[in-house]
Amino acid sequence: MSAIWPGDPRYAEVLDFLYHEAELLDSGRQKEWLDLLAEDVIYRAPLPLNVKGDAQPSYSEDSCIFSENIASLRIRVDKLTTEYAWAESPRSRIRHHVSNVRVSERSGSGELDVISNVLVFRSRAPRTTPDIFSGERRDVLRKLAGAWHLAERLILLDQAVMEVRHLAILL
Amino acid sequence: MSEDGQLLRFDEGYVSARIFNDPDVHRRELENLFPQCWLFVAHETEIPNPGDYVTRQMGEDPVIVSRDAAGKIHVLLNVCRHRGRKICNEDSGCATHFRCGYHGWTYDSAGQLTGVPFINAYGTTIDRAQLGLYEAQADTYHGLIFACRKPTESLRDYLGPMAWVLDLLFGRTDGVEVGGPPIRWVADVNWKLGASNFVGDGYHIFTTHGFSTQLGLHALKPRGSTGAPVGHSLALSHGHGASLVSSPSGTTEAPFFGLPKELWPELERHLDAEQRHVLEPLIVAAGNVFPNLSFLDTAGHTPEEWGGPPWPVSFLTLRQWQPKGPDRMEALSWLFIDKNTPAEWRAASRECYERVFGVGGTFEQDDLENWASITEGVGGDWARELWLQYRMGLDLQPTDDWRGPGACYTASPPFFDILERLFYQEWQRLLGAEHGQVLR
Repeated sequence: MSAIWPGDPRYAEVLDFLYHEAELLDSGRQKEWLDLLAEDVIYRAPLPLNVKGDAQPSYSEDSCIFSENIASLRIRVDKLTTEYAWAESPRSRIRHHVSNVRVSERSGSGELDVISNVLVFRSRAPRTTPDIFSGERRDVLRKLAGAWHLAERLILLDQAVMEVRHLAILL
Repeated sequence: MSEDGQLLRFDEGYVSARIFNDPDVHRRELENLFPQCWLFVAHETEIPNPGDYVTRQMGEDPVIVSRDAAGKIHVLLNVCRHRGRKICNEDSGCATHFRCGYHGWTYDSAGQLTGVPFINAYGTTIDRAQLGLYEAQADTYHGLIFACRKPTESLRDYLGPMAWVLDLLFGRTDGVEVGGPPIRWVADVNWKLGASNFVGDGYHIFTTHGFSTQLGLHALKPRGSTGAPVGHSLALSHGHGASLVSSPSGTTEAPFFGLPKELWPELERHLDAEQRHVLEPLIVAAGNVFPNLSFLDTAGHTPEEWGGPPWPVSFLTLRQWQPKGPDRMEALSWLFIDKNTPAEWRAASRECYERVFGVGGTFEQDDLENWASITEGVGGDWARELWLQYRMGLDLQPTDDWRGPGACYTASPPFFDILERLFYQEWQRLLGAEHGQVLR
């Protein structure tokens, strides 16, 4: 694994990918976002735990908040097009803030490991208290047909017990 | 609410909207209802070894569920006897003792006060033996740990015929275990809405979860069977209730919730013939152990439509609705797996569960949205005048051809509110609000 620095054109490509997908997710274009996923995509958010121990925050090795693949992500996105998407009716205002991007190359495969921070702001009328989701993304990007695709996303959320009705959006 | 302060008109099937967001009602629940009930606090497999503990809630009191050095389970008030600080702030762990972070009073995993810094400063005014952590009575059924502050009967008597239903789900094999720590989240919802939904609201599925049908997903379509599923709703004691939904032909291609065949001999050992007969064609078993422990075992999803395997899978989950004020609750969601389940089936069951349930679950998100909207909607003054409708099946009589426990109701379409009415009847009884007693 070797680091890819901002001078490397691939670093700019990664930033462009992350900003582009954020724009799609924030502007109601989830169907287009699906096109950025590899067919064997793994999309997971392990359950954060409040336990004593190391300085490192803990996550469950078993329980997940999200445990998705391409088929189940398609259901999530298609659900929004039905008249029964109660948790997103009216649609949220969503803003993904992506930062602290670190890129490295996976040896041999040409795939990239991309670590970033994500802060997602979600507000829904008429509630005045927004949902805020903070976490670290550990992504794997793969080049398919000349374009980067998301092959894997692990989301390490920063809150074990969130004060939200539901997490009906994509992080 | 009527002028005399009535909250329930049981015979007519009306529930006052007031009960879902009212500080007085909430206070009376904490004072009268929760202390009398056997409350679920954990499953034994969450604390398998001496010293293991998890922190939970009884009513709104924080408790530690601990296994002491000798292996005995204790349910302890998580509040220091000295100055009232919570002594443990972790979700779970393993410890020989709990030390209060304020002045250092220390308790062992059985709750005994073992250490007081500078104890001589107290002279003769302190007796450590009298200052252990408060402890609730604890007992288990199929590894499910329940605790009660003011028991008037044993856990077994409290569960009554509900034990028979729990046998089908938690006692059918050599044992179940938790699939990991529970998913927890806090929502602006009154806790009763979750309990009441699970005890007997089959009516909500087609609207609340209507996306599933609209997307052409095969929810609740038993394999190898045609026609509408058959529902049996069991009115049990103490406000407990369960709904059993089975394949219309009495068989499915995936009997016993699609459990792997390796486990079938265990079913023979642990269930009687009648229980096996009931379990075999089941697609869904849902219900609520009064007051706030809901369960669901479902083979109602078709895994391959969700990117899962092409063979049948079900999942078993417990969900608890913990009050946190009149308009707020913490939801806890556990996955359970029969101990000797092969790894492949385990993984598929977990995935299916995590895709539809929990804070991010595609089905559960719509339930929470509904319950939060009710809690918000009835929080004003005008809406408190509303009598909400729990009036389906007022004249429905129990069916004769049921050999299991309780009174069994069935209808076509399979919708009636009797189990919810009985839930609220028991709720009112424990609240002490019967006989038109006025709430102030």
